[in-house]
Amino acid sequence: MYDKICPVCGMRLSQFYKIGTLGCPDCYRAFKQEAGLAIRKIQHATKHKGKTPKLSSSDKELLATYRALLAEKEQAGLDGKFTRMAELSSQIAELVAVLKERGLM
Amino acid sequence: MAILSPDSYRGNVVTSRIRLARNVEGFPFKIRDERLARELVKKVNRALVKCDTFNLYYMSNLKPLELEAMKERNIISPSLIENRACGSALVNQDESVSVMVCEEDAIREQCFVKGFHLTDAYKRIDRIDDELSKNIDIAFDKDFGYLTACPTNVGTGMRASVMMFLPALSESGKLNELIDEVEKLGLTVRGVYGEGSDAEGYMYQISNQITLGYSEYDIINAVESTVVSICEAEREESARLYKGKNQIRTLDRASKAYGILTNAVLLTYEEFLRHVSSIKLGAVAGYLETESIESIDDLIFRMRPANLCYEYGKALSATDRSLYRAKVVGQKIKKLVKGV
Repeated sequence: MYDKICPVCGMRLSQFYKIGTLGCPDCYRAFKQEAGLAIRKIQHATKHKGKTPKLSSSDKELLATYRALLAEKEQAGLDGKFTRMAELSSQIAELVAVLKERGLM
Repeated sequence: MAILSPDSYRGNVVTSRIRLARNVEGFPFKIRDERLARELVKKVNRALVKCDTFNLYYMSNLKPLELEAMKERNIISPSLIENRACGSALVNQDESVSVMVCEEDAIREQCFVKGFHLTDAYKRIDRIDDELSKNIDIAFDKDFGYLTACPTNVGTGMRASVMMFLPALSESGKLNELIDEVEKLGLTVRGVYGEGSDAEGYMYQISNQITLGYSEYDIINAVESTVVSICEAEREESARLYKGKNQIRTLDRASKAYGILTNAVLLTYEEFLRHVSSIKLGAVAGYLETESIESIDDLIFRMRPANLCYEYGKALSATDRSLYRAKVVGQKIKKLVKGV
């Protein structure tokens, strides 16, 4: 049977079933259905009704873009695409300046 | 359900605690990389300076005695000590708030207060949590809520706990029936020192198990109303066991405990807890006058092994701890307790 893997931290679904804990926030997205079933069994509920984080959606998007650029730069390095790496470094530096200004770094 | 006055909780509710589990997008739940740990603690520290004055402790810089003393004071957890290389804690001046970084989850915030003040504890930690989430991309899903390492904590990520002193329910054996009822409500009861109904010092912790599908205030209300019911049951059982025709036996028990604690040359922690519980029982029943029940509870925390050594200034052997404890307790009980 196919063993799902989280694309970010590499945790396998079979590991989750064995140890009962997940590796990173993206595991919940990678194993959404399975995690949902486990949560329903433990919590007898599947829908959050409490408070939400205060980060604005635009700041959240900026941070997500930053993480995506870092991941792309790392992959470009592994693929030997050094020109692309340099472009990404420049974009990342600009974004870091914005994040610092907003107090997010 | 009877509404009890605040005095009804006196002596039976020792402390209240709210704990929030949070994680960060782009970071693993359990951080074992020191570079990532440093990056995260910098972000958390930057956010917290806006709320209060915090001292930052790196677990790797603390000696084993300091770690154990902080654990005994409930500022840090065993999980944080296990991740000593990466773990850190930001603690405010009066130690009522601590924010642990690199515990079982990336961030664990808690507010720990004396007495029955769950709502106040929540309001304090909620303000800190909001400040953190304005600056850090906290891991969240619109269905599952706050995302945590273990699905038992998703949703609110909140554990609301109350520590209670329940000698009558414990000694009569009625606590076991109560535990079954409490568990049906999605809450748990466990001995603070020891297991189940044989908890040392008659100390029990009541907390929620369910963290998803209810708001934070729904959970707090459920724990608070359960605690009030338990206080009522303890008060009824206490009247049966310790008052009326049993009054003289209860006073004798408390007085003998006073005699031992004020005259002992050696006192292990277990002996101390056993006898100070009898004194506290006498005080809660109204037969002994004390400066305050809270002062007795403070003494119980101070006399725990690591905190005792920390107060003394160095690690002590078991015999030396018993010797020092007997001296401190003897002096303190004479000051705290009258009417014997």
